[in-house]
Amino acid sequence: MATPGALDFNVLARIDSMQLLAKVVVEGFVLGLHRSPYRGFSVEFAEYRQYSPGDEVKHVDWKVYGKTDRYYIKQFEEETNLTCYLIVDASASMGYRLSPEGPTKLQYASQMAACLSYFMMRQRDASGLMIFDTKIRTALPPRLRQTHLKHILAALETAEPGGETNISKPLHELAEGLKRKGLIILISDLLDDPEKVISALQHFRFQGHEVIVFQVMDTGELNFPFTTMTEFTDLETGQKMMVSPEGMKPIYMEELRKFLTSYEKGCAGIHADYRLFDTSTPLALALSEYLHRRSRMG
Amino acid sequence: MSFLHPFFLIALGGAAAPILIHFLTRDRVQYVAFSTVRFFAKGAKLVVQRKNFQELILLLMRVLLAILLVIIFARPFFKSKVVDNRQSFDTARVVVADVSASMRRTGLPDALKKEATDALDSLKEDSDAAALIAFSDSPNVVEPLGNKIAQVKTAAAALAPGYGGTNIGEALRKANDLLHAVKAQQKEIVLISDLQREGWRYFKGDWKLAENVKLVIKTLKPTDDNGKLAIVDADVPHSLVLDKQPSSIAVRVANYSDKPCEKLNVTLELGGKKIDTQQLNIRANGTAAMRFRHVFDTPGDNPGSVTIAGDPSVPGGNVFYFNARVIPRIPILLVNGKPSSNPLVDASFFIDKALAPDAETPFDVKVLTPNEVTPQAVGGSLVVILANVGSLPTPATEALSALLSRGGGIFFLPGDQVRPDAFNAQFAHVAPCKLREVLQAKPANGETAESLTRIDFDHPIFETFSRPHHGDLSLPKFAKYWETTDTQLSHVLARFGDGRPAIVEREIDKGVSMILVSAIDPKWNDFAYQSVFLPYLHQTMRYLAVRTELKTNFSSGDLLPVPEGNTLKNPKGEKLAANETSAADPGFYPLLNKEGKTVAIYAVNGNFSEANPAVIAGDEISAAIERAPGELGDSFDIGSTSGTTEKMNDHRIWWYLLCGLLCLSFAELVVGNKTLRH
Repeated sequence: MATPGALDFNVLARIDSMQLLAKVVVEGFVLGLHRSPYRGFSVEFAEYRQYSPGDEVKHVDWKVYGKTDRYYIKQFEEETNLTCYLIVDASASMGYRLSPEGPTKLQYASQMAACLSYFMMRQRDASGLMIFDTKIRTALPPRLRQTHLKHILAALETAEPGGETNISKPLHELAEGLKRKGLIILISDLLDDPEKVISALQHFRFQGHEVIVFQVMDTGELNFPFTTMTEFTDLETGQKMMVSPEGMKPIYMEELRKFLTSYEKGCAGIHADYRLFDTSTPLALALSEYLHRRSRMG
Repeated sequence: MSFLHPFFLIALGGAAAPILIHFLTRDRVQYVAFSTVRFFAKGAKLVVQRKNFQELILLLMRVLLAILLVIIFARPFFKSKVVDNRQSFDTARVVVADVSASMRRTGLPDALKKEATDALDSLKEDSDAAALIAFSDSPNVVEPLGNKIAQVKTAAAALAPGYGGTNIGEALRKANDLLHAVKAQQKEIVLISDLQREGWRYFKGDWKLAENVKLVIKTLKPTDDNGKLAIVDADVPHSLVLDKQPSSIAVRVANYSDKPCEKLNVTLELGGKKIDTQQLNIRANGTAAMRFRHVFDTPGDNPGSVTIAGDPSVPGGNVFYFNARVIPRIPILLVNGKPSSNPLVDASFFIDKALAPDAETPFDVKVLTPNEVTPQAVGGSLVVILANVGSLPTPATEALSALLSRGGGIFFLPGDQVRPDAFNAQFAHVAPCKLREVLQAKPANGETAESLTRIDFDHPIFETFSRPHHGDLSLPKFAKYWETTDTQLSHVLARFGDGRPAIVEREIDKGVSMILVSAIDPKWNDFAYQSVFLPYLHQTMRYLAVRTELKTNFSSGDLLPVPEGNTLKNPKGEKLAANETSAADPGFYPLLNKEGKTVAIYAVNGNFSEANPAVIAGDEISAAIERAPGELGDSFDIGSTSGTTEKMNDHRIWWYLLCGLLCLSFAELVVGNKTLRH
């Protein structure tokens, strides 16, 4: 049975609005889950229910009793204690896609971030957003308000790839600025020096944050399906290189394997969750990853 | 370098085809914006360089292949300019003189000398060159080509025919080679011979005289009408075992005249004594055989001759010399692998009785059990019979190898005492085959056991049985026998009805090892009860033993063996030097030991074919070996006068190129497969 959220990207690509896309994905995903348990007595009113023996008398809404002559208990939405930071890489390399019909890595990362934000909002978790390339381009602090979600989605919708990747610097800057412990979700192709990136992620860990790394790669990058003599141009540096794919593929695949392994091991070393996403992977997997980590945090 | 088919070189333009194809099909580069080139940094440049290099190599190979193919089709050869440093003469002449036995006929020796010296008369010492070749079976350069004409004349005057055969073709080829070594305005070969047709039959037509060599033939004929009779073939026993059986001495006499020869006396002499004379009638231009029967009862050498009374066609052609060496008794070691007081069980009983039925047996049989066999016992025997012997002491086995190396024989009769593994391990190097397992006969068609079939009646053992009423070898029935393996190098003399080898022999060193794969045991076969058993066994023993005997019958020109310390005398009684033991004249050559005692007598006969007076026409020889103008062939000659000449080497270059093409094709295949396509 397919995962409810496993919608085909061709379908999702037809949805213009990031909000609507996030809703479709998340609602589809949620249909397969139990209702969220985070409901209780808090400052924000949620609904009424009939009094039953055992309920505390102080929660009885006497005004309603006066109007209806029945006992009702006021229920409040519990305010979340989780703060989540979505960090999206918008460097030039994120603009790559093998097939013109498919999403770029940035599009995929944005959709993923949108879905996560939407989902978090439903879960009553506060989410913030940071979009960066060599420096921080957009920074939205974590909020729980519905309007904040709109800001996040708008920022994601308008994100364009550009600039070289320098992941570690913005991460260190962010880590310095965060006061409250939370969940850090980094969505990037991580085409940077793994040691520096891991070091930056470790910075978050030192501060007590939970870290999830979603590495987004394109099928073209993972499988290197080129067959004819090709001149590759680096999207970030503009460097050109003539390559014989037949002879180069084994070397490329080996280098890629080492690269991915270095992140996998590095993340494991700092107890950060790491997951590699091909841009054809259903977005719901990112949500389930988030839920898994969220449940661990209680 | 020149080409046999130069017009093929037009196709060299085709060498451009691989270049054209290369450029037409070269990779079209696609341009791709990629997320990062960091993963290419290590090898991209090298890979592209390697690819380009491989493509260049491949292109060069293909161009070279195309060029090679064209050149090969054009059939190249080298026409090298060589500096000719050979001595130069006006006339170079080689006199080729026939000194075969047929030239001994009346008037021919003198005519030979005269023609030879006459052929040299016209030559001048300073400017001409001459050589003398005397030939019979093979050519002998008496005087090499040089300007010492007088010396060659002297040698020509001393020419004397011998008793050898005739090979005109080889002599002419030798003369052609001599002339090839000098430069001369005129090159001639003067052949002086009786042109016996027999002397031309060895010519195969595979070579020709050089283009500028002229052949002059001087045909000699006997001055008077020689006799027309000659012994042309003979069959005498060379090695015999002393017994009371008569042996046959047969000769074939030819009558080359047009008249029949009647009542020709043919005489057999032995040891200088006339033994028998018989009369023979021979039709005109026919042959007839005469056979004498004689019991050779004297051990050792029995020199003898057969003489015909009529006039021989060649001197000496009326006598045939032979020496029948008689072995006193054949010492046989019979190893009994299963001794028993019961004759039906004892492995050697029937064999011993068959070999020595009475005191006059030619065999001296000594019976031992396997443990009693010593190297000395083996060494003192000519034949060793291993009757149902499973194993022997190691020294005895080694002695069996020594027996074979000196020409002795081993006869295996394996039975139930033999274990195949042990037999194969111990006797592998002296047995004609290996043994696998004992088989029970599975006869068909109402028979109760297997018989011997597919017998090789040409083999000396079975010759006696080949004629009707001379023993039926299919009578013995074999109920059990060994299955053999590894008979590939052996000769199967007889098989059982199922096709399996029954009697196998193999020549090992100078000796022979033989096996009958069934023991002489009534439980295995009834061979011992059959009348053919005794003659079969005797023939086998004689065959295995006589190989040790010294060869004593030779032809004129053969090298006579003289063991160290011995001396040889010719028929005239003159001692021959150690390095001159080639048989010249027919007759008896005694071999003396240090004490001067005769240890062997060699009988030497002339060449039988020399008696045939048929001749070949000189024109026939000229037509066969003279080269027509412009005709190519095996023999190429260097130009006669110019200082620098052109020589067409051979066509080996073509083969080298062809091999190169094949190697290059293979290399192209390998490189092509390894080259990156994209």
